[in-house]
Amino acid sequence: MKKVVEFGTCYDQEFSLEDEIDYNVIRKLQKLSHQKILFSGSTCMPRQQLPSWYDHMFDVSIPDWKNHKLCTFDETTDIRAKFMSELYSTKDIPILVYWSGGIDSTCIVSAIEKNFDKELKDRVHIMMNSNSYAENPYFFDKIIKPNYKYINSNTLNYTNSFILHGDPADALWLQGNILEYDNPKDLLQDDIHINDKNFRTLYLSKDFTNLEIDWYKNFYIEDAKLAGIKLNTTADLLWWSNFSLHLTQSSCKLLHSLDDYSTTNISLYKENALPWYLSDEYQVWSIYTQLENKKFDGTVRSYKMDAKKYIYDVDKNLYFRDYKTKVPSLSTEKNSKQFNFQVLYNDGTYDRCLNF
Amino acid sequence: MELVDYLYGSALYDEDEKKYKQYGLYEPITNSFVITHSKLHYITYLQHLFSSRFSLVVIDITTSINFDEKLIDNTCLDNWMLKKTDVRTLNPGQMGWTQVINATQLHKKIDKVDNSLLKDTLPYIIYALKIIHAFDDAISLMFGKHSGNINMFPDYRLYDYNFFDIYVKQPFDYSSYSQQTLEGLTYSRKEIFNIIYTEFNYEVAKEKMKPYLNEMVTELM
Repeated sequence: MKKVVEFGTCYDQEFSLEDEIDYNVIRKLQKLSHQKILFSGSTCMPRQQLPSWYDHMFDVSIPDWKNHKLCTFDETTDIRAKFMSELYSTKDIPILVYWSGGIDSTCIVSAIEKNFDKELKDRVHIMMNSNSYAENPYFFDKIIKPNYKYINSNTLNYTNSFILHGDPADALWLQGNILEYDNPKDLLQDDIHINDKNFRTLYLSKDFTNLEIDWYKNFYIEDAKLAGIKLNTTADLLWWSNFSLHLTQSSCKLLHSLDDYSTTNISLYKENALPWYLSDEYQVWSIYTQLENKKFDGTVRSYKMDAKKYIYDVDKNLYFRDYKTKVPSLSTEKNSKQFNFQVLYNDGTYDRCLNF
Repeated sequence: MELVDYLYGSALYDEDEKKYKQYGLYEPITNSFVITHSKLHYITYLQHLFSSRFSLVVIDITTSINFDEKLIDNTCLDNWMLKKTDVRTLNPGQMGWTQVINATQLHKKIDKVDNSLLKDTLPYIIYALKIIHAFDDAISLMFGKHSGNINMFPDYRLYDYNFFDIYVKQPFDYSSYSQQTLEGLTYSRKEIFNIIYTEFNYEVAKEKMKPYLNEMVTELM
């Protein structure tokens, strides 16, 4: 008998192989976690309780943050750029950067511009389309156009190229929809008021009972404790839900685009598509700045401000730094199977469900 | 800044539709209205031209429950804001990006966010609005679709270039404009819009626009 790896009741809910999977249950789980059940089901599993079969994927463990040196976002990004440049020096293949024009991918290109040497920069190809341009024309005109090759393409080629994209940056910050909250400063108060009607509308299904919401809240609080983190505010809780659960799924997002899930293929993907924002340093930065309330001050402008400042140091665009806000990113990545999702079992096998 | 006529952006009564028309461009970071105007397509043009700098949202002000024709215009934009949940930013590349959001209510502004850069950009936005008006009117005159009321520009001295002086002073003989002239004008408009979209420095932009504006003057003479 296999278990569906699922969020919440922590592996208690079982389905036998003989049973037809009840997709209504899956839907309910998805609604409950407010996240998709994705490849490897990882989004539904707390990162501190990943099963061993997950080892073949990217290392998404939470670092021992208390024994890590805290670096600023700038330092963290420069450290990452140096690490990536060393990694990319090992193989002479193109480096494809998926640039949506948004904050996260623009920050990556800025870090490349600042830290990579000419030889590496010559191997960089910016994968973009007209939507990328519309989101950040200034950056394209000033940084990309004169310095890089750019391609209007959404082909995912990880077999003979390194690939980079803006994930899992969102998991390090707070979810963008926090900006829609009427009074975001309230979320920074020393009190977790998850039952608040406004919060429920934004983050959870309106159908949820208070009991379900309490369960949801307590689950996160207990999960954070395992990492030595005390969640004090609603903003902390929102961050943790993203950081603990969403980061894994986000890191593996492009896996949906693969045609072949063989071990060899996945290994190749893992080798060539290491996510930029998946590093211990970024995680440590995320934890400290959250606990010290330095990430978000309740204003719309402060959303991802550290990243916007980093970009500003490169392109000197005051408008982007001070007036860029969250807009839905239009993907530049191949995502033809977006209506597929997969149910992962505790032995690492999966079923693919269509038209979910 | 001196404001004339349409630059006040007041609500205007549409005799055909029997209702007031007034639209606003809203900037969500500072919770500010940037400009108002009674014609939707002018506001939409501005949204496009300045989307390289701001995530602007088009708002129908007349749907606000506290709307009256004297509620807001370009002289008192700073007094008003919208509820955050009423405003939805969209990616400029997204289908339906220019959708109009109906205001539910305009609220008295409480917290002031630093909007100095936005303020600094306002003369540029006003200038762009003048350009849009000028092109719109010139082209519609040539097509004969417009009344050609030159009083639309009552204070032409506000404009920086000869084009505007000539445009408002010269009587138009529509039939004398060839297709080639029209194409030239359309080309110039495209180039000028491109400059507004990509050149963030107002003074530099004006210099870059000069040749196109002068060319238009030649075309129309």
